[in-house]
Amino acid sequence: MGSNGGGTLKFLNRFDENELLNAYRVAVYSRTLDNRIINAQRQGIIGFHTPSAGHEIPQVAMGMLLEKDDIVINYYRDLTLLLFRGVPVENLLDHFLANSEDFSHGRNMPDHYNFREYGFYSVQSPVAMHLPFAVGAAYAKVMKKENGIVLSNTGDGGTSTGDFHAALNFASVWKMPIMFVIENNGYAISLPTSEQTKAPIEKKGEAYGIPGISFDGNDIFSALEGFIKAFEYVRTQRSPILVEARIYRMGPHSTSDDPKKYRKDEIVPGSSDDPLVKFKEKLKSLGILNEEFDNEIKKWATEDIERKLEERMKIPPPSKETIIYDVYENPTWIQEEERREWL
Amino acid sequence: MVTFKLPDIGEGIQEGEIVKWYVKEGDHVKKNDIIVEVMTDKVTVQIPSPFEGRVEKIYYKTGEIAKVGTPLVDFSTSESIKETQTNKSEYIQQVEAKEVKENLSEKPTMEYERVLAAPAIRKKARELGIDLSRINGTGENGRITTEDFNKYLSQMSQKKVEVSPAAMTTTSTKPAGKRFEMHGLRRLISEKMTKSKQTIPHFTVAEDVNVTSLVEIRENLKKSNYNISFTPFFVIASVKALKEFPYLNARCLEDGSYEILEYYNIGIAVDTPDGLTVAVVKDADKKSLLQLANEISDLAERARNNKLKLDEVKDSTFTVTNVGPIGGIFSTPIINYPEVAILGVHRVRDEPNGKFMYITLSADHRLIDGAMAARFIMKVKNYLENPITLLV
Amino acid sequence: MRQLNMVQALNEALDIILNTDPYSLLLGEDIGRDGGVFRVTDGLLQKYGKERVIDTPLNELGIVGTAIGMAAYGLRPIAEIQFQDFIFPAFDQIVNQAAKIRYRSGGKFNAPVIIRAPYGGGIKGGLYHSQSGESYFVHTPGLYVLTPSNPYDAKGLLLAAHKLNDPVIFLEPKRLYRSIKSDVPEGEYTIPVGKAKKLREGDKITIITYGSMVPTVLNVVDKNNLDADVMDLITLLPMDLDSIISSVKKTGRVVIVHEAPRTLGLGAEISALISERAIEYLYAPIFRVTGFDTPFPYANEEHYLPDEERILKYVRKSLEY
Repeated sequence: MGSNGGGTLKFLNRFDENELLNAYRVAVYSRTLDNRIINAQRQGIIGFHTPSAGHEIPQVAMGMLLEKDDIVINYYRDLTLLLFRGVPVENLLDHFLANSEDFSHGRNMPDHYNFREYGFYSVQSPVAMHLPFAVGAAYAKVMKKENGIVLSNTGDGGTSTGDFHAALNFASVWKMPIMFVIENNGYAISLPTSEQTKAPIEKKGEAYGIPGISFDGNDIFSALEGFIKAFEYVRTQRSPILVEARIYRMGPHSTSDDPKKYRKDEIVPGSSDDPLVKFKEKLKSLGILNEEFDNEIKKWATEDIERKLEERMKIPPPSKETIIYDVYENPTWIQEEERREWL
Repeated sequence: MVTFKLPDIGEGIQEGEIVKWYVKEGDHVKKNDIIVEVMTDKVTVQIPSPFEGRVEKIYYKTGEIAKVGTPLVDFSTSESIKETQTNKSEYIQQVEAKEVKENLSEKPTMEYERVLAAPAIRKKARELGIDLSRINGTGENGRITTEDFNKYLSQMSQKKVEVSPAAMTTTSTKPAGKRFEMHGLRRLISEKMTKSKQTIPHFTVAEDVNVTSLVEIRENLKKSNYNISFTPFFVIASVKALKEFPYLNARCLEDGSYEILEYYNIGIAVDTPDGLTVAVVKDADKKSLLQLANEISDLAERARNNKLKLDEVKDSTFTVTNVGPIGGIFSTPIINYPEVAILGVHRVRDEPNGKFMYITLSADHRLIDGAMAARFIMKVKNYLENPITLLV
Repeated sequence: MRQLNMVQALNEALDIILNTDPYSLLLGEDIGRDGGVFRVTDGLLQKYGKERVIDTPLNELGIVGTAIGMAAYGLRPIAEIQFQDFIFPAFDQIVNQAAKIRYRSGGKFNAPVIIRAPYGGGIKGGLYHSQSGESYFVHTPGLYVLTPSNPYDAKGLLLAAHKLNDPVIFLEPKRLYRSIKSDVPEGEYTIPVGKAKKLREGDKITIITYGSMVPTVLNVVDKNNLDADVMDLITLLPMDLDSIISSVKKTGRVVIVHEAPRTLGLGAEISALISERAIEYLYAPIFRVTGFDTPFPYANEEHYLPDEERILKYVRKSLEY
């Protein structure tokens, strides 16, 4: 490790080299896991996945600034952020595999994460449906006089929805301590952002009296700078803010999507335009990382993931009785009867 | 004179408080002049007069609560106020003229081969062994209504023997005989017996039972004021034997399969004025001699008076028929369909070496072979010849 | 005992809830300053303040969506939708969020939110102030659907709903808001969720109804001295099937009365349930007396709503079958 003796380099007056290195390691692990999951899907081991390649930088940046009491009302492309905040890989794999250890007994398609105990949300499919929910969560925090803020993220497509409109309006009228993060990766499945909306996303907040920030989410320092401002705002002003992180979705929308039908890959994974590669080069230039250590990280990630995947694959699928539970706190006679007759 | 009622001023409002009158009795008002201010839960409104005329009567004082739809003010007017006829549009008149008939079952009148009846009627008919196709349905498409069914039931319990002169196309010069049709119980019996004999391959096996001890026991019981007929003894003996020969306590099902029953409901054939009836003693294995005796006696009595309940004539698993008191040393009883066996007991004969009685067992040869029937009847005979064994 | 109408009874229930549960709150359009367009929330803003009685922007999606978030994080929100006819922008949030969050999170999240809405016609409301859309919600597992028919039940039912830990659609029959008064005890009491009430007892026929049609049905039965069991369902989901079946087995005849349109109204579900479990007890088909399969008309409202004549006609039809 070619550092200057450890822990003294202060970046943006906030972070030392260990934190940056940790962020990089999480990003690498996330990318490795992401690729492994896609392969597993092609192998028939996992049913579905929404890859997060290209989202790593803004998510580690958020992770570095989030505090324990903050709640993240997330969506289905937040693998990196989950890993950063400590969600165990085993739990993630159980969810992807939809086995009997999964928190929801395999009821969900993959990427419908739910890790409340790590400060996350229970992801649903309808896009941006969670934004008003996030505003409500913020209201609860304020009314109960709790610490922390609420962060809720979605993609550029999410800004077209009625939920986005309702959430920003209510958040502003109620003056909620909430950060809306738009991970603008250029596409909503096949629709480019230029056809999704004619307004610059950061400016959309103005319609609701909410300030907006936009930054290049492909560069770690640019992302950190932007987020530092945003978090500062929400924590001190206890008011909503709209953040746009401009990134690029390097993979398909999901394993059921083929981007070749509607675009040429503007950024190729692993090339010098890949933000993860740029992150590595940046750290190397700061003397925090070298090629050898980078290879060690990648090797460790690959092996760790492989080992854990093998282990979790041994766990059996959920029993069919689990269909009946958690509809209500306790099943009503209707579910009970159906269970008796059919399950 | 015309009465103006408090109109419905708002969504679901039922009443309002009179805040202020703008007119008093005797005043003349023009149309749309404000006459009163009313306050409700939701709004306070000023109400304009719908008429021109003189205020004759005011129904509420200031501060009172007026109910919507009740008289508020009486006006007398110079012009006659006619109720405006609702001028129905041409379209509506056409629609009304079309005679929209209320018809729930809009099927064209098809000829249904099936009998039409509600589920509960069908169930009752099944239980009573009634063939619904014999009932005349007065409902739509010939459906048997509840009334039709009940009428039929009450007819059944009447003795209906119609005698009609023989209007037959016969050139015979002999005097015409009495002709009658079967109704009610007679018809039921006719149908049941026919079905039983036509469906079940009957065979009968007989034994001669030494009933000397049994007769003595009966005499002794009589002396102690227990007047018990032979029948309860036969029931107990039969039940004990059935427990060892479960195939004889079975039922033939509609699909041709058999069901061995694990309960013992013994049918007791009773001769009534209307015909043969089988009353059922439920769970005979769980009853004592005295209980059986009382129950059988009670059932028979009520059977003769046509007072049996539906529950008491169904679900028997094995039948005992005793014509002994009347006469006959021997008979070949007909099985009480859908059971598989029936035990006939007869009159006591004085023989040189004691009192004897023939007992006969008719059985369904599809299920029961001669050997089993023979063994069964031997069992019954043994029990009856050693009555003490009936106690264990 | 003092007599209250349904608006007063509901108001009292909300007052009790806000008073005893510091995490409860109300939100909706015009519920604060205006006290609600039907005055159900009258006086509560003055008593409990803006944080607990919120006048929201005009957006049903936002009202229900934020309420669900509040409920998931420890508050007990009671959201008002001004008329059930306007609930549909929030339908996504109700069906996809509230009704499913417990299931998809394996119980880690739940949404104890009550969504109140006035429903039903009879107040000259036309197409958009008269709808009875209970079927949309009864068809969604994960929801409770409740509807009281009188002031006593209204207060007790709302207080009971507050104790449930899953989302409740609380439908208030608006034409009964002020037309009935009944004895309403002071203080807290609840009536059981999931239990129907037998309002009249008889042997010849079972009439099943709920909400706004209850007084009409009772009038028919009383005026004509009908020997009838009258069942007020109160809870539409989960319905009290046991009470229904035991009544049907006794009488063998059923008429179901509801205002909502016939097709896929609750009458259809109840018919199927009865025919599965008690068909051999039926002396007649199960008849339904319902609103027509049309949008709700304004001038001809009284002809749309099932009236005493129509109900009596089908009762007679059943009795004479």
